[in-house]
Amino acid sequence: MNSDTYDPRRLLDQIEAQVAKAKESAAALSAIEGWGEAANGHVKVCVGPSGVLRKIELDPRAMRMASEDLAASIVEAAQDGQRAAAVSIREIYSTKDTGGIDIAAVAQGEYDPTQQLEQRLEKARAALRDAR
Amino acid sequence: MTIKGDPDVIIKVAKGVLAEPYAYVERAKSTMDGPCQLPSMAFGIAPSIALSGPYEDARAAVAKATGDGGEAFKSMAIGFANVAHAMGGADQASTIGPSKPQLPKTDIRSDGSDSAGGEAVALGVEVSLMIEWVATGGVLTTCGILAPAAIGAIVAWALVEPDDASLSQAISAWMSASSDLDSASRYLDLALSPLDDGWPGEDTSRQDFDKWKIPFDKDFDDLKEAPGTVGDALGGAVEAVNEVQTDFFILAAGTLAAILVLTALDAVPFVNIGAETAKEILGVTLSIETGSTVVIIAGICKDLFDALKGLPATAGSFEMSKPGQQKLPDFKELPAITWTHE
Repeated sequence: MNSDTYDPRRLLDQIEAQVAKAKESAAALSAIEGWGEAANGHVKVCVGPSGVLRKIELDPRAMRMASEDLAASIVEAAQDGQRAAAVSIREIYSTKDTGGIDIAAVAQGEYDPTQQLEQRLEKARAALRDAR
Repeated sequence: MTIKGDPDVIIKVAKGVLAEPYAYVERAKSTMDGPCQLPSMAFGIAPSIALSGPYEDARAAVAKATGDGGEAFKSMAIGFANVAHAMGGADQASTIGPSKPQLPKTDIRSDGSDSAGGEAVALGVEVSLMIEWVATGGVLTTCGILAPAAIGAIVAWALVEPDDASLSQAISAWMSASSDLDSASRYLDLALSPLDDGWPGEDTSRQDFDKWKIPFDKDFDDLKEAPGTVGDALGGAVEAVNEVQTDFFILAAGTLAAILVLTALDAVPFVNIGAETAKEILGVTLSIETGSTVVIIAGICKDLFDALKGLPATAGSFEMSKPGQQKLPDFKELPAITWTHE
């Protein structure tokens, strides 16, 4: 790392570039559709990046299913779609610095900060111990 | 008591001791009393609690020892003059009147550069903690704007604002003082060298001088090391703080990158809820990490100042009249020397 790294103009340029990339990634994320299916493909569900339902496609044969089975299949397909959406999100952010945060988990409300918080705090504690 | 020797040679030596050797010691003392002083906030508010006392004590102790060393040089020269007078030489201690020599400049400046040309000793020390502190502060401020929980980081970082100019000046001043004491030592050897021919070893006063010179040399060797020790300790602390700053800058920049990614998700319905939470957690974490870094920097300074606490005890004190240990060759109760200028 040299003194150029701390040049204010250069830093600002870097932050602006990061903002632009973050916006691109966010736009790509918002367009994600995760498709999932169940009951031998008779039930198909599309979810958005957060896992919110967008579309349900039911094959006429699905209508012959018992209502409990159909409900379970819809849930199963939605979960499948949610996993597919998570994979797509992770692909978008695979080359981005997210500070170790799984953006897919954040997007789908499954982000548990405890572990990461503990990891970083442990690093801080270790640094303090070394300093002593 | 037999008295043998060439009074003219001894007078020449007395004048020689009060020329460059004494002048270099005097300048070293003046440097320690002036540019070596370090404002208590040199490393920021947080470390100032540890800084102010021990550093000032160490500086004052080394400066006092240097002043005592200068007095010892004067005593030595006065003694030579009186010995020469006793041998029949014309000059007494009060009349040797050496000319004050012109020393090469050591223009110690707060940016560590040396403006003097030609013979000047290059003592440039450039402390550049501020640029990294400002850059990190900028990164933390951006984090604080995007994630208010990171505002604590900005407040904590403000506690370790370095003063590059004062640090550069103090380090280069210690190097200059160290160099001056080395020069004093070398010039003293040169000034004393004619004694071998002009003041034979069988003379009793010469024997007294030789006995006196042994503890003097030991004291002066101790003194020569002291400024370098303080300067090196200060330079080491700056380097350690710099490393901590660099590591923290990398951490802060990484956190900012993550906060920017999460901020961009604010526009995406449903996703923004989790993103906002993650951002706030990152902000809190960054504040804690900043606090830790501030404590680490304060710890580095404390280590430095703990090391300096030992210096007053080890710096040469030039107590030349220790009973039973040293015998002064008639170097007491003599009139003060008045400098004359050419």
